[in-house]
Parts: sequence; C-alpha cells; structure tokens
Amino acid sequence: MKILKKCDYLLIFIVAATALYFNFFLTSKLMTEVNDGNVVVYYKNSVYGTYDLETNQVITITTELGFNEIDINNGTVHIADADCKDKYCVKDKPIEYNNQTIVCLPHQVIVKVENNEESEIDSFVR
Amino acid sequence: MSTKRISYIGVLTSMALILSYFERMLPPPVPIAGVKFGLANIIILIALYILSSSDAFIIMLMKVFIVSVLFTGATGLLFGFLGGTLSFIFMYLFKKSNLFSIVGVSMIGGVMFNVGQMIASYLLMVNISLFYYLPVLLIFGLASGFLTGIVGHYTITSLKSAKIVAYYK
Repeated sequence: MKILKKCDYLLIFIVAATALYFNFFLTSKLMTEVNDGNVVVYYKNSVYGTYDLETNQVITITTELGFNEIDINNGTVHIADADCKDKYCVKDKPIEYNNQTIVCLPHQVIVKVENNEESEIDSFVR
Repeated sequence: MSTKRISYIGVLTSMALILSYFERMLPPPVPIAGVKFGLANIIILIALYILSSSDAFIIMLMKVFIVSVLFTGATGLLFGFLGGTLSFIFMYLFKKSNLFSIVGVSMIGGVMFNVGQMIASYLLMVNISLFYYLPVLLIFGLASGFLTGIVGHYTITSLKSAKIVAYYK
C-alpha cells in the first residue's frame, strides 16, 4: 500500500510551511497588545460604531440582516448572542489584542480591536 | 450525449448532493465559517478519475448550483462557485501533470476550495483581517483533502476491480 508519491510529500510540506509562515507573520506583525484600544464594528465594509475597550458594556448591533449582541468585559470582546443561523461568531473565542477580529458572515458584521494610536509597525504593514 | 454518460453524471451528482446534505448535519469541525469536511469533494475527485474532465466539471457546477438552491442561497452560490471552480482547476492541472497521486490531487483540491471560500468572503466584505483564518483553512483543507484522497483511492481501486468503470478509460 503505497499511495503517496514524492510530490505529494512536497505539497504537504509547502502548504504546511505557507500556513506556518502566515500564522507567524500575522500574529507577530499584526497582533500586538493594545493600550487604550477601541472596539470598532464594521457593517458592510463601513464603520458602524466605535466603542471603548476599557469600559464594560453590552452593545447590540441591529441591522436589516439581524442583531449581534457584543459584550465588552475587562478588555476582552465576544459576541454574546446573535440571531444568525450558524452562530459561529458566538462560538468564537473572545478577542483582546490589536487587529483581532470576530466575523459574522451572515450579517456581514466584523468586530475588530484597534489601537487608538497606530504604532509604527502596523502602519508599515498596511 | 449518450444515455450512459447522462446516467453517470446524474448518479454522481446525486451522490455529491447527498454527501453535502449529510455534511450539513455534522457539527462543524472548527467554529469558522467556510471550514467543512468537504465530503462532496470525494465525488468530484472520483468523477475526475473515472469520467472525462468536462463531465466532472459539469457535476461540480450542478452540485454547487443545486446545493445553493436547496440550502445556502445566493451567498452560498458565490462561495461554492469560487471554491469549487478554483479547486477543480487545480485538481485538473495537478492530475494532468502526472506528478501527484490521487491523494495529492485531492489535497490541493481541499486547500484551494478553502482559498476560494476565503476569496469569496473577501469579495463580500473587504477586510484583510479575514486572512487570519487562512492558516487554519490551509491546514484543514490539507487534512480533509488527505482523507478524501484516501477514500477516493480505495473507491476507484474497487470500482476498477469490479469492472464498473469501463466507460471512458
């Protein structure tokens, strides 16, 4: 039983290396600690609202596609409830670092943690 | 179009649909939109090996279209179409090159399906942060492609030994 060919191993290696590279690149260059951060909510590619990360609050985003209840608690953000059918956003881990996002595709809502002041490395990457 | 060809396409399309339906009943492996086991990819893979490439492409298109009509709607059509076409093109090229086994072809299919989904969600909402999911999607596509490739290999071997596929090749 020898199914795999040499090139298959090469393919596995290349894809795994790409994934690792992206993972490393994204986490090291983009995801940094926030000080004085904001929670920015995007709806259909435009900013829906900006909220302070340090204030504990619950925000409900209601659009024609449905609602998402965003819970900001001790500097971390997660989606507490939503009426989309797959609820991936509710199951997602809480976010706290710069540029981390929670995405709700059915509602076209993106919740993102952003620094108030852009650090140099971020503006460079962008 | 011969009757035999039509019935092969029909049977494989319905099997792909059943597998898509079955997959929707399973819990998602990772809580990220777009990550799926890609069971229906087994059928596309088998079709690519036992039928002509154009027939396999027809099966893929019909599967994407009918699944979007039945379950996912217009957004699903965009996602499925981009993912399906991209993965089909790569599977076709990889198979044509003769460098890869069926498992390798299946793996690039799984990976490219997820990349296509990523591109679709990028088109829907232009936001580079979506690419955070890319590493997970790549690895998961690789793993699921590996498993579907193994399944495809044994299916085709037994189909051939049972002399069922004396159709095109």
